[in-house]
Amino acid sequence: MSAATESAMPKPGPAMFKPAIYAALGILVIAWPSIGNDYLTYMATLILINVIAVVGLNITVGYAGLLSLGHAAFLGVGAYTAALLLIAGVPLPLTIAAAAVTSFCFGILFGLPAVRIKGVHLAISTLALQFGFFFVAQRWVAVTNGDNGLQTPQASLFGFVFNTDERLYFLVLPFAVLACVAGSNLFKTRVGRAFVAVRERDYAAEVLGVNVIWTKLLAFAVGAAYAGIAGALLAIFLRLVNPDQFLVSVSVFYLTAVLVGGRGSMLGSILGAVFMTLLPEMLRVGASAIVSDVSGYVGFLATAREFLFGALIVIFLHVDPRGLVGIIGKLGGRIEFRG
Amino acid sequence: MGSRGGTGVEMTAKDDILTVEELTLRFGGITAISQVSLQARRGRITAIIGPNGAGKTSLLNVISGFYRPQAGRVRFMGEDLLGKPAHARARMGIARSFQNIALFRGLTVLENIKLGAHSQLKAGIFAASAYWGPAKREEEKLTRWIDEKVIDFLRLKHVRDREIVGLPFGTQKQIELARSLVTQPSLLLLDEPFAGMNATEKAAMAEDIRRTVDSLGTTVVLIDHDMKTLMALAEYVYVLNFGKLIAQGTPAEVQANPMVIEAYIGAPLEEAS
Repeated sequence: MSAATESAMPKPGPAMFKPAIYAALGILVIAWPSIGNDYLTYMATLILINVIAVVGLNITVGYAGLLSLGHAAFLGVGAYTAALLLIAGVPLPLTIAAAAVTSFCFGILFGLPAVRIKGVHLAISTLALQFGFFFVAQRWVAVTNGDNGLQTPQASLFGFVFNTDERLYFLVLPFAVLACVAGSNLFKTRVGRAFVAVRERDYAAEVLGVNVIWTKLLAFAVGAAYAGIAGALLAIFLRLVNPDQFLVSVSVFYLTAVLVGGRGSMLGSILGAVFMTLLPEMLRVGASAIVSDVSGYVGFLATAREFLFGALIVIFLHVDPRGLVGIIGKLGGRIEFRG
Repeated sequence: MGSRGGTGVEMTAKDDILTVEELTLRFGGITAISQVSLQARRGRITAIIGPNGAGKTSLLNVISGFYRPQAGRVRFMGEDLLGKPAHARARMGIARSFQNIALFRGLTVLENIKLGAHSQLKAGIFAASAYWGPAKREEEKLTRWIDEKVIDFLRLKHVRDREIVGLPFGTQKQIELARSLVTQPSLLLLDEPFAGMNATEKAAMAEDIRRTVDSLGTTVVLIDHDMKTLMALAEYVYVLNFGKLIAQGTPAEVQANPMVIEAYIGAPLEEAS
C-alpha cells in the first residue's frame, strides 16, 4: 500500500473501539465496589493510589529520562505532610493540596543534581534523598513520632466521613483518573514535548528554545507532586504513616512498575501499577497452591518478592523495553509506542 | 576584503543580520577558531566551507551558544549574542539543524516539528495538565498552521503522524528543516545539510533551502563539504582552514582562489568534494 492511500483511508483496528473500551472500563471502575467484596475494594484502592505514584514516576523517568530511586521519599513527604495536617484539623482538600505542594518543592530541591548529572550517577544522588528521608522520619521523633509513626484521623469532607473501604475507594478514584488525564494532557502540549526532547537530545532541545535546566527540574518536581498526592491518600487510606512504608525497596517497586508497564506511556503506568500491586498477592496465591500453610513462609515470600522485582526488570528490558504496553501492541498486531 | 563583489549591491552594516568579529575559540592548547570575522547578509545564503577540522562546526556552536569564545564578538541584528544563554537565542530568531540529525524519538513527525514553536507557545504546567482554554487553542492553532504552511511546503504529509524511527534519511533531514522553519527564524544555521545524501536528495534539499530563502526571506548560513552543491546555492562563501579565514568572495571567486585549492589537498575542487 502506498503512503498516500494509507493516510487517506480511515484507520481500522483498535482505534475505532477506543470509546467503547473507555465506556466499559468506566462502568467497571464505578461498579467495582458493588461487584467485589471488601478485600477486592481494598486492593483496587491500593492499585489506584499506586497508579497516581507510577504516573508521576513515569513522567520523571519514562518521559523526561531522569532516573530516580527516591520516589518513595516523595510519597513519604506527602504522607507525613497530610498526616500532620489532618491531625492538626486542617480540611481534607487543603491537606492533599499541601502534600502535593510540599513534595513539589522537595522535587525541585532534589532535582537539582539532575541539572548536571544523568543516568546512574543521578540515580545514586536520589538514593541520598531516600536515606536522608528515612533518617529524618525515624529520628525527628518530636514531629514524626519516630518508628511508631503517626496515626491519621479519619478523613471527612463536609461531614461525610470516609470510614469504609467503599468510601475510601471513591475518594481515591477521582484523583487517579485526574492523574491519568492530566498526565496525558501534558504530552499534548509544549511542556510534555520538552520533557521528551530533553530525554532524547538535550542540546537540540536547547537550540529550539527549551530551557533544559528548568525542564529537568520541572519533570522531577511534577513527578514528586504526583507522589505527594499518592502519599497523602496512602496516609488517609492506611491511617498510619511510618518510616518503613517509604524504604528504598518501595522506590524500586515503583521503578519496576514503570519499566514493566512501559516507559513513556500512560497506559503503561496503569498496567505497571496493576501488575506490581497484584504481584505479591499472586505470589501468595501461588505459594498456597504448593504448600497448605503459607504462614511459615512469610519471610521467604518477602525475599522472593524482592528477587522477582529484579528479575522482572531484567526480563522486561530484554523481551521488550516498552514493557507490557509493547507486548500488548505486538499481540494486537499493531505497534504503538505510546499508550 | 571588505566589499562583496558580484552581488551588485553596496554593502552596509544594516544589511548584515549576523556579524562575527575577531572570534577566537580555544580548547586547552588547541585553537579551533582564530580571529575569524564574517558577516551574513539579510535574505541571502552564506556558506562556510573548509576541510575537516577547519572549525566550521565550532563556529556554529559559538553562534548557537554551546561554546564560549575566548575573544571576539558576535552580533545578531545589532544585539550582542554571546551574553545570551543557548535557549534564549531561539526566541531571538535563530534556528539551526545538526550534522547528525537531531530529531526526537518517541515523538511523531508532527510533534517533532511542533517543538520548533516551543518558545512561541505559552502553556505552563497547570494549563498543560488541564488542556483547556488558551493551552488547547494555541496547540490547535499551531497544528493548523503547520499543516497549511509547513507540511505541504516540505512534502511531509504522508509521514505526518508517523514515528521518527525508521524514516528515510532524506525525509528526516526534511523534518529537521521543517522544525527549524516553524521557529520562523530570521537566521537559519544549517550544519552540513547535504551530508550522507544521494544526488537526488541533495538536489531536493538545495531546492528546499532556496525556496525557503525566496519565499520567507530567511537568512541562511550553512556549512558543508559538498562544494559542488554549495557553489550553486550560496551567494557568498567564506573558506576556513585550521581555524583561520583563508578566503572569501562569490562562489566563482573562491573557486578560482589558489589558497582554497591548496587547502583542499591541492586537488581541483570538483574532485575534493
